[in-house]
Amino acid sequence: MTHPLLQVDDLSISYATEGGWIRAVRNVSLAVNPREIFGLVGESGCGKSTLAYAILGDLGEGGKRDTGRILFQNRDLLSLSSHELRRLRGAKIAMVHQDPTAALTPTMKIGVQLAEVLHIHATVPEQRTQERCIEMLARVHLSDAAGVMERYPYELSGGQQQRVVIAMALLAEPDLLVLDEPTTGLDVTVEAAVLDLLLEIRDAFGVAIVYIAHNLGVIARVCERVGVMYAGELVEVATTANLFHRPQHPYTVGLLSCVPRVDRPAGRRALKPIPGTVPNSIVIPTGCSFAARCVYVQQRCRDQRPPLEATASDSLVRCVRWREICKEAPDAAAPQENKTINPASHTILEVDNLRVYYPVRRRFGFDKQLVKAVDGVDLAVGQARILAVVGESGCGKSTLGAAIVGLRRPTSGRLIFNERDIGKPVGRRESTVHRLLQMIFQDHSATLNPTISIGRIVGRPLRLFSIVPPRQLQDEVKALLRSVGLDKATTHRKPAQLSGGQRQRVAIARAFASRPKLVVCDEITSALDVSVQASVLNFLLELQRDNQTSLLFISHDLGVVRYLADEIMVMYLGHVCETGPADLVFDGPNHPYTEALLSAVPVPDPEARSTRIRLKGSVPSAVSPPSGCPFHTRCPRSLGKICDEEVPPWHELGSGHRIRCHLPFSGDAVKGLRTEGGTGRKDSVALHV
Amino acid sequence: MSAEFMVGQDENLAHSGGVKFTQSFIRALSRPSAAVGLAIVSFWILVAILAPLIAPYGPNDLVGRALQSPSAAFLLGTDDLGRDVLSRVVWGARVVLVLAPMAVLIAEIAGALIGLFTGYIGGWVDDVIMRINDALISFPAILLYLLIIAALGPSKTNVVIAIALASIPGIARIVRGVVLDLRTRSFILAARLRGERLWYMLLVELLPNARGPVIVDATLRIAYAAFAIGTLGFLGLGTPPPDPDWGGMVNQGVKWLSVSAWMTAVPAIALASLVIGLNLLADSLQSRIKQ
Repeated sequence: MTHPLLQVDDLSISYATEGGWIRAVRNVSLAVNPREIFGLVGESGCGKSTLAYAILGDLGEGGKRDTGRILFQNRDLLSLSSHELRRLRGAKIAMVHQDPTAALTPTMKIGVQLAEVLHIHATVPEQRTQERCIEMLARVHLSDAAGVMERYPYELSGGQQQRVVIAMALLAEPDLLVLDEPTTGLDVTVEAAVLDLLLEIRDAFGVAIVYIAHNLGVIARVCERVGVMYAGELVEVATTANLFHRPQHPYTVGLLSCVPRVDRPAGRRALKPIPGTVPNSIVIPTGCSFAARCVYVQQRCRDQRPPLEATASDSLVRCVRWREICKEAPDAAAPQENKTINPASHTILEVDNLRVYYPVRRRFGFDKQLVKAVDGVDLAVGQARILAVVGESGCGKSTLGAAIVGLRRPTSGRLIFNERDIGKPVGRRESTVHRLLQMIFQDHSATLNPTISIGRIVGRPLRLFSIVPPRQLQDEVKALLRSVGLDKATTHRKPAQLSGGQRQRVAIARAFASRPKLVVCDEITSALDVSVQASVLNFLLELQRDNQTSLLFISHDLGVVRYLADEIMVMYLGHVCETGPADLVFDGPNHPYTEALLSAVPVPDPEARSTRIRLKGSVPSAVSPPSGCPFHTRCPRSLGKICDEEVPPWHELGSGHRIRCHLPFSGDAVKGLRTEGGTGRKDSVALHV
Repeated sequence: MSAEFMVGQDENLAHSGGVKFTQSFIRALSRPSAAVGLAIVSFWILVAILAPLIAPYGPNDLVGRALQSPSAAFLLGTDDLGRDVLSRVVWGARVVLVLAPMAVLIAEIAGALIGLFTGYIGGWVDDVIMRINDALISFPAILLYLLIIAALGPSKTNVVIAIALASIPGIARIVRGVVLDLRTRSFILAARLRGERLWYMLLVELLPNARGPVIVDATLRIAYAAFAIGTLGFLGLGTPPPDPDWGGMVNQGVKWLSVSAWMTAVPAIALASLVIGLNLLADSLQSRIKQ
């Protein structure tokens, strides 16, 4: 047995705030071995980042250590002088943050910033600095490493920047790398490539990695052991295989079952949200900190704080009932009844060859150029149906949504809603269109007017469109709030008094207040924690079903899309590349881009680390999109000249499943393609915590 | 609303927006510098309200020999016409403390409406109005006062009009800035999707979100306005004689500075103290609201 590289013993950290001491980390013990990738997972506010910074010897302003120590190579990090810490950081322990733009100085060339690390830690002679930097950039797979040295951070894409930051962290050959949500801001295909890189550098450099993430799928892909944090405590530590196959703490079970999973065949499972929210860690309960939200709770859980016990499978669990839970889990999620699909439903929204271009000014306002955000999109949404629009950032899906609701003016094409042309901007549309076409937005902090009470916010559409007689207004508001799980006391609150998930539920209630026929949902859960996301999605689906509302659901999260969509439309650079019933799209065959997207989704099964399709480069500019098929520059299956020059044709695969590609998509050719692909995507599940 | 509506939930959440705002207002006043400011300003407000009780003589009564030093009969001496300086300063407080807030109130309302409108509408309307606005801002305020008063003639009303007009462009710019930030927020988009009318967008959705900057600006601006009223009085463009006006009193006294400093010093100190008091108050309010 090797000696652990990093050992955290009974660590507790508190922060002074106006409301009192926040006990951000409580009695955490863990050990990370050399060359190990250790994951830390949990909802926001669980103390993951506090722990990560403590590992770098930084308790931050107002922070103090209550108990314990952090031993790194047998030295207590929290007792070192600032001089000793400075020598250690960068050289022995390096950190990579979520936002690479914040880690790179915008006014300095990449080469200079990299050389600085070597200069400070003096690991190589001065004359070899350049050489060594270029070498390192090449090892994180940046093409044209020498060229990158001469560039400024803004000249690189997000994925490239994160590679540079990782290269910078590796330059001094540290023994431990701490990564705090390093791929959270990246698109799924870029994320997949960065995760591959992490596995590779661990093998090449022999560093140990502490990986913090809220996304369980990402954890499953890269980590060997995982610690689950809740309210500052480590509630479960297990090998990745055990954690995903045999979760033992109720919180872990809850996290896994509130995540939208892809389950073949079509039968859906209801997401089971964890009730309540993460406590504020000022008032520490005497018993188990999870007791208030736990479905397995008993009186003894509230009386006494459970110890961190070793289980039969070598996991550590902080729960008195883990033996019983172990038997019930993990299939706690109940199957949900199949949605009855009514194919004869009439069309609510029809979009016909829609184009939305808008000008961007470059270089001192001269030389106006057009961004072709949406370039010839057709779609139809039937009554009570859910159409999901998926794609990476910059694919035009949000612009499409904005054009439909009238917030962006279409350049050309037709929009037919409820059998009426709605090409006009929102201000000039008829009142019935305003009433019947609503939208829910992404940013929960700005979706409600901070100066207006919740009751007035939800009541406004009722009053404006005279949905109910004035006397019944208050009752209707209460009913709407109840339908999204909020009690009537909420009516007098202001948005700032609600949590993000509660605000998003109010936004749903407001959107459904006017009894709309179509609701456009633009990334409505992407800023929420997974347990919160589950409840928001459940309330949305319930309202949608009860009111027979159609949804246009814009999302980048294929797990969520799989959970609720009837139909799927995949967009790339303003073009639709694939569309069809959800099950058919998920089963394939697929457009090469859809295929890449699906295979890039982090899989929660630790065994599923099979070969995957990786896209090279980044999304081209929508100002001058590539000729022919817009995807040809990155397509792993490109046929060459024809893809570069000719716009691909649509292939009908039956039942409304259509693919726009030059590849042959019919009969046996298709099957051959699928086997060859071997993406293992049948297991694809997007797991976001 | 029914009583059961008022029942709170058990959650440990912050207080409501309105309460929070009032709280930060009160907390702002608990700083030492703010307390001094508050004391000075309340002193002058009390003086203005109680003027008939405090002032020993009428403001325009000729009560004694000219240019006397303080005595038991004339606590702050007399002016060049033999009027009681104390009585005139006390009555003069009324002028400043009525005209300044009035001018600011008018300016804030007009400026906020312009800012809300142009910021929300955008486009060429915004361009045109804002360029005119910029032109007005680039004028020195004193020049604007002089132009307006010269055109309208000196009177209390015209002082208010001049100060209000000169303040509007600045206020419009502040409010427009706030609106530009707000108008892309989701709650504004949601209101647009409901097809809300312009007045609802401006007054219900936008204006309450701009109140912080507007209140801070107003407190600061009252100090400017008080000073401007003093300046106009000093230049002989304020309240027409014989009514007391601090600026006018200073102007009158300057001629007699070598004989008696009292009739100059007292109104000057009065004006300075009021402006400093208002500034102290505005500063701490500003730093508090900005947090």
